[in-house]
Amino acid sequence: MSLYLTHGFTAYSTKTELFDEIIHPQRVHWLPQTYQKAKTGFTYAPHILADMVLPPEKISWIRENPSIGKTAFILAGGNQHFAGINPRDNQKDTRLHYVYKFLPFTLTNVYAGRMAQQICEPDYISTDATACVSSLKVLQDCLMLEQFGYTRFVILSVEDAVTNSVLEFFGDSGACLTKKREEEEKIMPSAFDSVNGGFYVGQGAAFAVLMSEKEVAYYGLHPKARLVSACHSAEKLSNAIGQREDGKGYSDAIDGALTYGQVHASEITIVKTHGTGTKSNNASEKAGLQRSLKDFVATSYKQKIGHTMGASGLLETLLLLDNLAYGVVPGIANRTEKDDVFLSEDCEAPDGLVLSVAAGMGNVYSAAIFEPVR
Amino acid sequence: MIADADFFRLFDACAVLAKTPNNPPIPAGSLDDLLPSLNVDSLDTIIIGMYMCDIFGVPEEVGKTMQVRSVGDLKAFLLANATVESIDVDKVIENLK
Repeated sequence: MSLYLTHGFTAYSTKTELFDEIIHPQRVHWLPQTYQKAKTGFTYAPHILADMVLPPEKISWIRENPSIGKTAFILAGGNQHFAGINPRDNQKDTRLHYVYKFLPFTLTNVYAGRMAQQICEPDYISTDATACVSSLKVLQDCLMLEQFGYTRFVILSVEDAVTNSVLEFFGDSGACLTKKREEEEKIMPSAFDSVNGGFYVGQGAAFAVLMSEKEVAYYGLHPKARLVSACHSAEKLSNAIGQREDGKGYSDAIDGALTYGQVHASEITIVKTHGTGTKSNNASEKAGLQRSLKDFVATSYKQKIGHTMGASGLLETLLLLDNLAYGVVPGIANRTEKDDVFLSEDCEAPDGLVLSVAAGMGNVYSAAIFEPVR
Repeated sequence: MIADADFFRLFDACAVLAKTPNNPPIPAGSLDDLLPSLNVDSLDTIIIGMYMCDIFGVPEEVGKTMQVRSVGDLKAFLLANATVESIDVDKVIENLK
């Protein structure tokens, strides 16, 4: 069984701005309009971000053309920050401080229910909090639901990533690239590089609709890609925010996707990596990919749009599919060494299948295989 | 402090914000209108109440005690707890957009 990606919309920023007033000064990719009225308490930055991938003229088709079977709506929120206001109520003097007066809407599933009713006629509503793999992990849920008669899958992925609390936590843990690290180490965001590395946090959202083959045929749609397979896995490791250097978590997810989709490793020719560029992820992801695959080229988008966390897997996959429509696999920004695998330069897209992978805090890994419709 | 017609305009503007485009509210026409008859459910009532409390300057802790069934109940609650002396309805509606 497989599904087809018929609609895909994204919101993100390629520009960065330095936030000097926060506890760990750092650059972020953000969309200032999402914070325009945030201090009034009547707007909620992630909700406005979500609205940016849901323009009424684009989603009206979904409501006006009902599913031929059952419809599932999934909010891939990446975490349960929706449920907590207090973490944002620190550092009141920053541009990112806000409160939100409508407490029920900060409850993830209340927001999901509201959005589901607005976008489609749902037979199933769920939310996913599986950290940075969230939007890829739910693809496996879709494939499983197909076996229960679902023919349409509506996925909204957005996370409250650029906030005082997240930037403080990522700064504390040394996960992101702070101003201090940039100055001391003189590095820029990159991945799989011996000199540059690390990422900025980014605001981003993705919206996607997947349909069964029958539903695609019924409506005569031209999909962007076929979702061949997806697999989520856990890594055995005592440190819940660590990664094994041998890449076992990555390779378990990749091997699972290959097996479930009856795909041979040699059929995967293009990889959208998680690509945060941290030392631990560089080692783990590279080892996992090299263990499971043969000849491939790999890219990363986090250097261009930041780490959009729970939304990143699906958002970056949609960006890659857009690039592939022009026959290009983009190189990884700021590489200092020539590399034909973890691409230091753009390359012509080879024929074959696409693998998207993601990793998340809590020892979680997801992989999804796509066949682009070229 | 505020005529019924102006109150209905404010209520309708807040109700539109509370509802989704696919499930719009019914405009208020009487203080006796019960909120469910205007397609305003319990979640919508919280949102409308928060907006209206902000407009009337009702403190947040007081606003949270609001329990209303009709448009008239809402108006009575707001007037009993308002801290603003007058409201420029047109300006408020413009700012809500």
